[in-house]
Parts: sequence; C-alpha cells; structure tokens
Amino acid sequence: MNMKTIFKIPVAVEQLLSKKYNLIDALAFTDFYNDYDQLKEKLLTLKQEKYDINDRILISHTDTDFYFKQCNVGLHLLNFFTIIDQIDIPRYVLLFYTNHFGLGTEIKKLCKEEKDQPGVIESFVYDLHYNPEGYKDVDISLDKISHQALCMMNMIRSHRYALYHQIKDISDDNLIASYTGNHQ
Amino acid sequence: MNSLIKVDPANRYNDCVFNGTPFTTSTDVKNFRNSMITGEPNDMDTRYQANFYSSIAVDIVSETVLDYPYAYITEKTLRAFACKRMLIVLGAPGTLKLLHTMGFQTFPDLIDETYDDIQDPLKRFKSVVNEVHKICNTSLNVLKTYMQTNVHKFESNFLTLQNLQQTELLKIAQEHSIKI
Repeated sequence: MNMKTIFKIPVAVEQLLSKKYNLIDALAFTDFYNDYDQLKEKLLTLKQEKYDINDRILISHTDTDFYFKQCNVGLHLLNFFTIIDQIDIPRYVLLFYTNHFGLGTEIKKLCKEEKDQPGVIESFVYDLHYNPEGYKDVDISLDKISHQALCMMNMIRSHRYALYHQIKDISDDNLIASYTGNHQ
Repeated sequence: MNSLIKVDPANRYNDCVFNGTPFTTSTDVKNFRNSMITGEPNDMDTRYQANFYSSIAVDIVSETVLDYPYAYITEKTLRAFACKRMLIVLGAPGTLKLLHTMGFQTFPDLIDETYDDIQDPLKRFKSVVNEVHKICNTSLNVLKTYMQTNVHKFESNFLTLQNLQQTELLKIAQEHSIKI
C-alpha cells in the first residue's frame, strides 16, 4: 500500500455506497492541495446539465484544514464551495466522506438551502488511519513493560516543539521518546 | 480566482496559538530517537501496530492537531488501542469524548482526563503535560497492577477497533437506507 492510496475512501465504503448511488467520480481534497485551478478543471469535467436523483460525486476530505478567527469554516472547504458556486453544480450531488467530526456542521453554515444539501459521512475508517487488513491480536504481556510511557513525534508541528521542551528532561528510564522533525 | 484564499503550505500544521512563543522555534530542537523504537516513521509495518509498545504502559499521543475546532483522530491514537495500552492524547478538545461514542474505553481513574474538556489549547496543553509528568513519576508496579485489573478494557478496545470498519459500514447503510 502506498501513501497516495491511503488517502482514498476505503473500497468497502465505495462499494456499499454504489449499491444506492450512481457514483459519477471520487475525488480527494489531497489531490488538489492548494491547487484550486486544477480542482476547478476537474469539477468542470463533472458538470452536467442534469443530474439524476441518485447521482453523486464522492469527495474525500481527510487531511487537516486551516482555521482562522475571521472564518468559521475550514479554508479548503470554503474555497471548494466558492468553486462549486462558480461552476454551479447542485450541492445535493456532493457526498463527503471525512474524518472531520464536525464537517457536517461546517457544511450547514455554507449550504443554507435545506433542499439542496450535500451528504456527509463522518468516519474513522480510512486506510490512512485504520488498518484495513486487520490488526494482529497481541498479548498484553505486562511482564514486558519496562518504561512508563512512549512519545513519538514525527512531522513538524508547533505543539510538538512545545511538547518536546516539556518532556526532554524526563529520564530515558521512564520515557521512550523520539523527535524526528520531518517536513514531509 | 481572486475570491479564493491561499495559505503557505509550509505553515499548514502550525497551530496559531503557539506561533511566536519562545518554545516554538525549531532551532533549539535536536532530533533524537530512542533505540527501542524500531521501524521508520510512517512505515507500514509499524504505522498501525508496533512491537515496541509491549515495553510501555502509556502512549503519549501527539496527535496531528492541537488547536482545532473538533476532534481529529488518526492512526496515532488508534495505535494505542491496537497495542492494548493506555493513552494520553495531546490533541483537539473532545478527542476522548468522540472515542467513547465509538465504544472505546479510557482510563479516568488513573489518568486525569479532564484535559479533554479544556477548550483553550494552551491550558489543555499544560494539563496534558502535567499528566505526562505524573505518569512518568508513577511506579511501574502501580501501572502494571492497574493494567492487570483493567485487562477487560484493553481487550474490549481491541475488539472495538477490529470491528470498527464493520460497525461503520452498518451505520452508513442504516443512515443511507442501503440494504446489505
């Protein structure tokens, strides 16, 4: 499994939804990260004069969004709907699959027309975060415990800088830690 | 597309609350990794479950985001359940609450989990750090005894995780009136 495919909606979910909906296409926000021209181009190819009642464009929104005080929704989401308005695709055709357990609320702020609401499925189950091939049933093995805690910090985040400074003096006998500071 | 707002991708994960405070600069952070941690970051062999978890009692999860409007849960949090370990989450508020709604159990009688309700990110951060220090100063015997008496929770969390996809599929089917 490569990193690109794990951003996608799980096959089992897509298969389930296709029992009811005619899935015109499936997009991932991560495919258009900050490239809104490309996103608009893609959405234009999906624009139809008329959609059937069960037609859906499946949209995966897995990566984090930007939030700032002047705006009460995520920036990528706001930009996405700005493009949708420009292209004039009916909103009921959009079906979001997301691990943002608040996206439904955000979308309601952007889509006020009750009869033309996008669908939103909020779920943990993403290949990115969940092992679709199953988890191995491990033994609890309390006798193997030699340290109180573990803390791994990989990609650079400001809260991890802060945490690093707060735990750096804890003894290696108590805490197993790593800080790799990756940018990718 | 003048009406679209763009941001610098380099800043995509920097929570604004910490920007500009003395401990946020990268120059005073040295990369390090305890030799007990095996595999590479994002390695598929250790991404969801890792053998070295057997050496620890509590996973201090530094989730992807801290200053965020709602819980954002990733494999970092779920890995503690996969490895049958306790967890403290440095993340968005409501993370534990969301886990509870999915059927996961946490450990409030050992770890003060009130940090999960703190909306202010800096106050939540401080509360998490307090718990980290408290756990690191707790004797291994105390932690092991606690875990022994709560084995059922670890097993239950593992099963909840294992069945999560099926549970979610059933939920989606129900909400969208899909026969399966």
